[in-house]
Amino acid sequence: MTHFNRRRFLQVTAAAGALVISAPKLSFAQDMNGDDRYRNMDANLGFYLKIDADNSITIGYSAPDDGTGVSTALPMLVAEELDVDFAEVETEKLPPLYKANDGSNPRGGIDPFINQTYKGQPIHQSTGGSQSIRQSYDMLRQAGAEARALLMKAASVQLGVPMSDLTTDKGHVISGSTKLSYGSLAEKAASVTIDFEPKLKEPHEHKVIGTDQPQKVAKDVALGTQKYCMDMELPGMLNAVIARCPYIDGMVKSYDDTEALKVPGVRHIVRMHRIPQDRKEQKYIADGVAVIADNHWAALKGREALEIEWDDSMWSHADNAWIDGNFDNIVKNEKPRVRLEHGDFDKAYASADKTLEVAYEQPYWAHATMETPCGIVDVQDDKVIVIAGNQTLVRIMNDLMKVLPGYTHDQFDVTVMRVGSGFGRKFIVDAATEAAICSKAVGAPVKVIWTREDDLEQDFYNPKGRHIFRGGLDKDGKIVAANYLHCSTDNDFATHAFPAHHVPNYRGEVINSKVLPSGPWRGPTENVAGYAMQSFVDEMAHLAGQDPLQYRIDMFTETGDTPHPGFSSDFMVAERFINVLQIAAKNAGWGKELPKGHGIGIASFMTFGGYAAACVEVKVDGDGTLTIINASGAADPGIAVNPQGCRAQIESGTLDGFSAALGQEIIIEGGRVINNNFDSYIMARIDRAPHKFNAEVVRNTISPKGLGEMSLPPAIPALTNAIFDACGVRIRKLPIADQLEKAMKG
Amino acid sequence: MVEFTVNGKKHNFNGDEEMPLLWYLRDEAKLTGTKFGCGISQCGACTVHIGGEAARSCSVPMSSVDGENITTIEGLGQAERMHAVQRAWVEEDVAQCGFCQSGQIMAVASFLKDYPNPTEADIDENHTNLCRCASYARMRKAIHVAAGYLRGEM
Repeated sequence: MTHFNRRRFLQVTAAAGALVISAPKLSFAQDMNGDDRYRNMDANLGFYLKIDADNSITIGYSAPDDGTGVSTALPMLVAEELDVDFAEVETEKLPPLYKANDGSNPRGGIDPFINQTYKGQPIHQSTGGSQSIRQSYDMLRQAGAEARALLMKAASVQLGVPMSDLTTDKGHVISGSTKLSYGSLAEKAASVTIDFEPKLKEPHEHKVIGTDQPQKVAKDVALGTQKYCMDMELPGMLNAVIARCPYIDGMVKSYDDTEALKVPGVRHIVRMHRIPQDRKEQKYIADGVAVIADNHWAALKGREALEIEWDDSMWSHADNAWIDGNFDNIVKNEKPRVRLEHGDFDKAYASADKTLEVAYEQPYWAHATMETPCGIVDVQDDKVIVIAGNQTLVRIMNDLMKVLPGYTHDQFDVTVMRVGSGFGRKFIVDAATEAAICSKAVGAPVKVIWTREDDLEQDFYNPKGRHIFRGGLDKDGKIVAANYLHCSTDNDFATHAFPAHHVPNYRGEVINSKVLPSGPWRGPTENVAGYAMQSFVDEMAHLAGQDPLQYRIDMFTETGDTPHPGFSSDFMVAERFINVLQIAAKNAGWGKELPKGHGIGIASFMTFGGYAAACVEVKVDGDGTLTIINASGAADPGIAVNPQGCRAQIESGTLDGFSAALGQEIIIEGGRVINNNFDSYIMARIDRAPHKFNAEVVRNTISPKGLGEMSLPPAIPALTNAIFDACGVRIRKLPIADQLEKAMKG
Repeated sequence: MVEFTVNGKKHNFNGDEEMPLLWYLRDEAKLTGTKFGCGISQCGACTVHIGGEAARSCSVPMSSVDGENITTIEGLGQAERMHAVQRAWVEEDVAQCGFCQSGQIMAVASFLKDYPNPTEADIDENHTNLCRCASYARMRKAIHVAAGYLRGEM
């Protein structure tokens, strides 16, 4: 051992100039010892923590970061209990920790690979569903607390004083006037044991959790040195571009690659077969033809030179108008599934004082992740090297396994990169799966990069839907009857969302008719249910002649807490909802006198157990020009681990919602998506972001949820409610596009 | 043959002159800080400077860079001596996923040469790069902070 690299993890047995412990490894050992992959982690960061002799501290994180800031927030949890200065801490992505499924998967899955466990709990190596913080909140604090206890035990032995006489402060164990750095205790700490479960801090004792921390990657990003999957290479790597059938559920009928093979740099053509084969099942891998070349540009030119005849027969009749017409038909002719019912809607509606029947429509949205799907795979005889930028490690493993039969889990060497935005899209491991198919076919490492056209044509879209409401008011203006029929191309139903439990006679129903492939998109279901339900409540408030904010507060106050089972929550707590509504309203100046042509709107929604509200002020000119003047977002996710990161998600969720509402719409014509780049799929630039923006995260001591998704669902209806307040035009169909210009003319 | 400089270093290129500069930078020069986002000059993730002016490199063929001086994000500033825009981006904690931010920074560095004291309207009209994470609220603040640095106010 002659060379010491500070980034290199050293086992305590190694005699080097610096010593490192992997304190929680003592806890992990039981699980890991049966698996050679984890016996020696010395080429990598140890589990969660590395302390060097110079007292530099590196904390690992297991979940990929797709922009929500978990690569900063997760290490903060370890740092809190370890008691170190977070500004001095370095962070590093942990290597994959997975094992073959021996049937012990608590979910009972049949997937070949599952996450490794720590004390029986799966190590969370996924980001999405706003789950990263809440699923690791206890585990990572325990890991930090154990490491601190071991360091204190080591100091206790060294100084000959009882542990109860010791304290810690910023990377040091303190005994009276003696101060020992964690680095100086690291070697001994790795050889002692503790026979108790260290007590975790109470929230009021937190020194790291709840403090504003900048993203640890901020500087790498600003310098352009941060690497993503698309930036990676393997020796001898070829580049693939794939011609995927642009027609929905279409196939290659025939193709001619003569000209493609003449393009300099093009090496191979590989026929890609649809997965699954049954075209009635949702497409995972499109039918197509891959062009594999020395570089991306040659592959692109090769693809242009391919002659392909497509079979478009499955959906050649489909366009957006056809889907709308199909909604008309199924609403008329099919019986919806009732998802939640109480009271007697029909009776109460029939006898209501005032009624409203209204439908809200929203289009398909694409994810359009900034980094298009990409994957790099080298299938060798005895191993498989994978570089991916996906949200879930285990899905990478399991999906590749399906196209690479015969390989065992210990033959996979997987690197999960920082994700160039996910929004749910990167749960799907299609690009890496395609790279595996290509690599196996040509016997070389292959990188697959999707063009933007590929991405927008072959996405797993947020479903298109129509939300039909019937509502009845009593003489006091209270909603006594509501029926919500959600007609969607593919969706679950926001069963327990406000105001389902706040209306005495309620029936919520869903009816589906699938066309395009669908997948999770920031705040699945709730992203559009929020728009529909909060528009409906707003319309009912106006019908009742009441203030839309007070109307909502009264409903929450009167009903109190309501059930909200599933997706990380049991209850919807009225007080927390009222709180975020009031914060958002106050921060945007609700109630102040507005200039002519201005309007203000409010909305709230609960997503993945977190409460969020948005309040928006707009100006609508006489010609219909819309300006978003001011916006505020408030969210209550429980304990805000990194408030600065939380506010970033409130800002992002709100503006992302505006972007979707203003311009985004997938257009299908002749059975294919035709708007396939940013000139025709319209996403907001900085000019659509209000000059005034206030994001506030509630501070409390309630067990944390997440914040990646919850700010989007209320943002859209807050905007459309504000438009109504400004000019009397109710946006009942997204995108807003040029509706206001047309309405103001007519 | 096409001869040009990238971040002050001489480069020459003998291949397909239709190839966009973006793919030369990424695949040949291995300067991966410049990102691919759309390929049609719409999103700005590929923004570099050509002769000090912002250009969207996905739509600049190699045939047109002969004699040009090109700067990429790697040449804008260094870890110890960041460009004012990079400093502002770090201080305002702008980035979320970060993928578009090299392009944002290159575009803003060029914009601030023309608009050293930008109004909100100047930003709205001239800064057109796409951020899919919609980090625009902090980006707006960071643009003003960077402008202050460049005017020598800090």
